[in-house]
Amino acid sequence: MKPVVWLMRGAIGASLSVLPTAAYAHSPVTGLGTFYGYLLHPVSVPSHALLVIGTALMLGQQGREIANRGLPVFGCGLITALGLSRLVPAQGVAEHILLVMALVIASLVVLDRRIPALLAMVLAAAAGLAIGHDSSPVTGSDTGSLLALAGVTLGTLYLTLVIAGLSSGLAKTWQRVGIRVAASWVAAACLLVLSLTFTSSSKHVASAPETSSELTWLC
Amino acid sequence: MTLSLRSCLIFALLLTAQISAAHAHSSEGIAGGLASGFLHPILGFDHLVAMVAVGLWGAFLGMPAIWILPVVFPLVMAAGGALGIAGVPLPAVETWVAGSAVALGLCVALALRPPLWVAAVLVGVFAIFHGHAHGTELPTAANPLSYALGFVVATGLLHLCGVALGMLSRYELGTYAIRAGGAVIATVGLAFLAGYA
Repeated sequence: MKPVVWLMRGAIGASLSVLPTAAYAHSPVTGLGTFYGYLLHPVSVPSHALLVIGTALMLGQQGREIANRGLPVFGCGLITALGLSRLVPAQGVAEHILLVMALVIASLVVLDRRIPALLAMVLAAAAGLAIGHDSSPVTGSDTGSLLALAGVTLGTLYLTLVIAGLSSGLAKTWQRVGIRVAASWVAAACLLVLSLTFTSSSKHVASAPETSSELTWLC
Repeated sequence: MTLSLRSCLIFALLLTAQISAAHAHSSEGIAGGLASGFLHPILGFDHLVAMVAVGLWGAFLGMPAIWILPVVFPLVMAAGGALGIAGVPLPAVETWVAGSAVALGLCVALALRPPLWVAAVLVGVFAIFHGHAHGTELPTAANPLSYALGFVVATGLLHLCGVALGMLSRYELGTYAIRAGGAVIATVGLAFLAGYA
């Protein structure tokens, strides 16, 4: 199969998968229930989605060996932070911290350089901790909390696993460029919103959100 | 590596249909968020033709420009957007945006093949102005992050539209069609510059 054909098919598939979601974004989420609602949490919070995508692309780009070690590290960070949030009420992570992390990680992917394994592990752990800390469920009952924790954990790990798994198998030049293109989109979006956040805070304008939340980001 | 004319046309048609799908949300309220960000470069016709022209020209220039462009452009555009958000004034932004359609359209129409760095600098300069135009609207978006993501992705997909159409340049007839498309883009840019659009 020709690389360009694959590229076009990928682009068409990705965009077609995004747009129908935009049209039906609200009704399924509100009626999904605790587990499925939190299962979608990593894609319904933009800053989480960007950080997950950036981290997964980074782990995948560095190759299967680092991905095989980095994914469990990411998962451990995520589960640890979620577990701690059950013991100590979490205040959440400021959105700009998540975005700075996503920007740094996505920029490393854009540069397409080999990074030390230790650095990849540290970044994966930090991303997992940050997402987990910011994903603490806000449900009243114990059963609801456990369902929410299970949903967030499964959703985040599944998304990370799929993206990292796919990107780690891409070895051809045009495929690796595709990873860099996706990372450049992540980095560009982060850079823009960080500019807005810091500009707003320097002007004392309260227009930028301070913490991430379930934002109506699809329309 | 060869692509059939039929495949190129199918990809181009599907991507065009994709743009139509995006329009469908406009009646549902696009005060902010991903949909409005996604629509911004598409509904702004001067942005649209310039982005398609970038992809077309990249395809004309061949490797490695065809790959470098989509990686660099969003980042440079984001830098321009940051300037717009910060309120750093740039002179005659809309004129530059329309001018970019004229310049890039002419590059395609005349099949210009400058050194890669010249093309990169030229496109980069235009990217700053396009980003500035988007960036000034970011603070008013209901959700700036999803808005930014939407317009970055839309811009990237428009590049891909241009690249897909530009693949026709490997055929003699396709080359003429692409160069005619470049002339149309330049004309559209001129119409914006002259205030007719």
